[in-house]
Amino acid sequence: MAYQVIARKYRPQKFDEVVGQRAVATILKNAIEADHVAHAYIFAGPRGVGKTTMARILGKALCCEKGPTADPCNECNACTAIQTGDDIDTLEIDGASNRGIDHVRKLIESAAYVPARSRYKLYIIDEAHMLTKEAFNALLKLLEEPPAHVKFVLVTTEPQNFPETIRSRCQRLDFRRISTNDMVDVLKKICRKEKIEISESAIDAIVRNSRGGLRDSQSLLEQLRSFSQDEITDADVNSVLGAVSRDAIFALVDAVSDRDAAEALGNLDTAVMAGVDVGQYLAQLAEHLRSLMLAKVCNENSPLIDETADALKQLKTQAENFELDTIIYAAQLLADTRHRVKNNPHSRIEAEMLLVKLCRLEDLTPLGDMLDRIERLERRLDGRGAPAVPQPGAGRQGVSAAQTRHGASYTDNVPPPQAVSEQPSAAPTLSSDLNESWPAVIGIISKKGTTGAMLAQGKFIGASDGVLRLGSSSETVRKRLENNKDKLEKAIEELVGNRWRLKFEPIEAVTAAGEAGELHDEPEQTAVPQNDSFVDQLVQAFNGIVMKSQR
Amino acid sequence: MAAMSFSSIIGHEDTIRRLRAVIRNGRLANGYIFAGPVGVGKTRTAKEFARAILCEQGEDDACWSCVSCRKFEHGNHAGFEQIAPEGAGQQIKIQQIRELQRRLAVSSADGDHRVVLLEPADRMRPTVANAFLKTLEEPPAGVVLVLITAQPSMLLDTIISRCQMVRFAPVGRDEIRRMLVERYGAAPEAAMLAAAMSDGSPGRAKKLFEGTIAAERDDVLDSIMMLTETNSPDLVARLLKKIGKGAVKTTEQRRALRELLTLMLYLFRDILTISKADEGYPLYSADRRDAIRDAAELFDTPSLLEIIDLLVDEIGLIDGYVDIEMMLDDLVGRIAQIKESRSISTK
Repeated sequence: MAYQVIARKYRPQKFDEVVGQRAVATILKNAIEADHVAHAYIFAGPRGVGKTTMARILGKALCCEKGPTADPCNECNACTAIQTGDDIDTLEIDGASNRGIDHVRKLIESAAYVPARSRYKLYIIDEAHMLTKEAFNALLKLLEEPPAHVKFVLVTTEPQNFPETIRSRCQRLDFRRISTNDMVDVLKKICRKEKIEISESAIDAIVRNSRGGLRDSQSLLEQLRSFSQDEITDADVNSVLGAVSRDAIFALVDAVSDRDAAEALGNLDTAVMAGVDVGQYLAQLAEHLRSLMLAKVCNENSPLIDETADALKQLKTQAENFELDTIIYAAQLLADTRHRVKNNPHSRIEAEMLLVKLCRLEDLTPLGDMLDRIERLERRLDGRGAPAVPQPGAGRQGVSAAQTRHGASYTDNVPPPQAVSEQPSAAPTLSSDLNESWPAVIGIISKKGTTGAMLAQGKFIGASDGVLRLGSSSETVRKRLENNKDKLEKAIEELVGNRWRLKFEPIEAVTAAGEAGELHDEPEQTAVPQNDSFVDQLVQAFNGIVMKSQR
Repeated sequence: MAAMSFSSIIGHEDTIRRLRAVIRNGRLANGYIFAGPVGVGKTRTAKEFARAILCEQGEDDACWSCVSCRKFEHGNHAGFEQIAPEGAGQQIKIQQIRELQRRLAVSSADGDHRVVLLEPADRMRPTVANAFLKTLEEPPAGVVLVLITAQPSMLLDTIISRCQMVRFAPVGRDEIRRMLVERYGAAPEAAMLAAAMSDGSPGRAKKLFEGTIAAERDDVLDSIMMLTETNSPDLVARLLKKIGKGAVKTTEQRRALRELLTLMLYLFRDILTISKADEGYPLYSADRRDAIRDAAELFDTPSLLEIIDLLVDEIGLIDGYVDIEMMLDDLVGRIAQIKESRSISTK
């Protein structure tokens, strides 16, 4: 007999042989024994977990010459024909290739005829989510009230793509991802039968990489065996998976915790030169960060922790080098990079940047600690008189600051209609008078994508009566700004609190270039208040610098 | 001329050793995915794989003398075909898959192997890929389907799950350099830059080596060193001239722009890594190590991270609707600005 791949050779032939789908198997067996088999089923679940296999077994159970039985003989003509997909009454249809209404019409026609030799005609429509809307609709009547000899199984990985009307006419059975333990057992059994030598850790690596799909794991095993003479080494597994060893990832995170960028970059280079895919490398790092996080927050018996005792110990030790917030922030940076790496030919450079960034991470201090520090500081200051900087909204000084900023004047005894504390949470941070705050506004906006950068090319002419006038010598620039007007207006509104209508005007070229540049340069007011002890102490407490001050 | 065919491929020794073992052991799978960066030799390897599978000698490499091998060489082997995207959308179309299925269903007269290459396999819409699933899982006897892609993440899970993944790593720099020196008579230093900039692609390395890449790199590097906010328009003008300025953005211009920005990206990446990594860490411009080190003095790490981010973003935008002049203006201006603010703050 011709060589058969593992996934096909070990395709289960009985209900009880299907791994990890006990619930579905039980339902079907009971239905057959009680003669309550529904006329239409939806088998839904991820790839490679046994849906099509189960459908074929159902076919055998219904059509077996010794049946209907929950335990088909696998020997009679009907059983063997179904197994090889050659049966004339159990029809396996590729829903993705035969998705049109014409295919369905043919099916409906053929359904009217009684089966050639078996009790039932079973239509297994694989990849059924690919049927067109019209095809689904044409099926509706038949699905609701098929002739007594007709049964349907719609097999799919994407049941959500079925129309409601189809779903309501079928009994839906959900197939689950196969658990790690089940998969390990299956692979071990196959390896024993096929006389393949393989280590536990190699099986573990295969299973980890198969994301719940049994067929995925079998394909991998098949692939590994196809070139090694029935002895599979860990190195083979890692190189076929394009993965790095777990030790290498541990070493990488050690380098990050030492803030040793050279070491981290070297780790990446070694991996890439060994043929590891950058995406895979980042995926493994992501998984490791998750493990670190779990090791930090879960207790050892948590079902979330799926580690050997040794690995867990190693994780816990490593986790001690990081604050939880740092791990979470690192994971965010990583997620961002992984997003960027998709479909990006410069994935290696992105990964290098990430490692440099990770090695620059200051350990994040929990917010609670920070607040404690501030409180301590304030208490110390209380002993030596009032703080030099007014607290927002408190006291007369604060109010007058708010007044001047809004350009309105209030009499002293009338409280301002809009106290600082009453402003919405997304409070504008800059002066609403653009003549004053434009350099700052453009500074912020220009960093937000190309449209913002484009805005910076406009020359500021003036702002009055709710109209902001910008000039540019280039018609292209004006046109593009005009096209994005609404977005830009909104962005400015977010910063200064009120809506300015944008107007773009042509101006002469020379001045435009010169002045647009100048605007960028305009130094921000950075007069540091001298001899201000509170500010000094703040600077010390946060280990920071004064970037800007405003009265 | 025995067993000469796999040996013409640069690099990938492990992969080839495995593929040959598969043929030797008679354990061919139905579906393979050859995944790896552009230009590293996936298609070449796939063709040699096919040639060896089809060879009548039944060895693990083609004999080049049997009828099958001769037919293969002349491109008229009935058991071998390649499917490529068609039409304006450059997609593999449903008709192509249906016709393939029809052809495969008619069993070959002698029951021999048939090998089909699909490339690039990611250029298949989900509907088409779905129509392909059944064939991929249980094709007629003797059929081997090889899906070639530089972006395996674009393939459906259900496709990947039915295939054996064969990964192609970038070819090592040293191997590429050796190839350039041995096959194309390159001088070792010139070969080094081309090899490093090729990202592990022998084909790209050859092209870079034959072009004027080193001179261009030096030019761009010098410009970056001298760049100030006042002279940035000059640089933009020079770059535009290089690309070939024009009102219409042609494919040619896009390619030139992409090459230029990539060159800048590689330079800034070198500048970033040289200050961080060990001495032996690979640089794209290893031959200008000193100049790169000088440049590293002019930028701090956050600025470099910002510039690299910016470059990657802009490269991603090239195929979209952008005004080249404006893009360069903005880009160079920003780099100059970042550079100047740094020099002020260190003074």
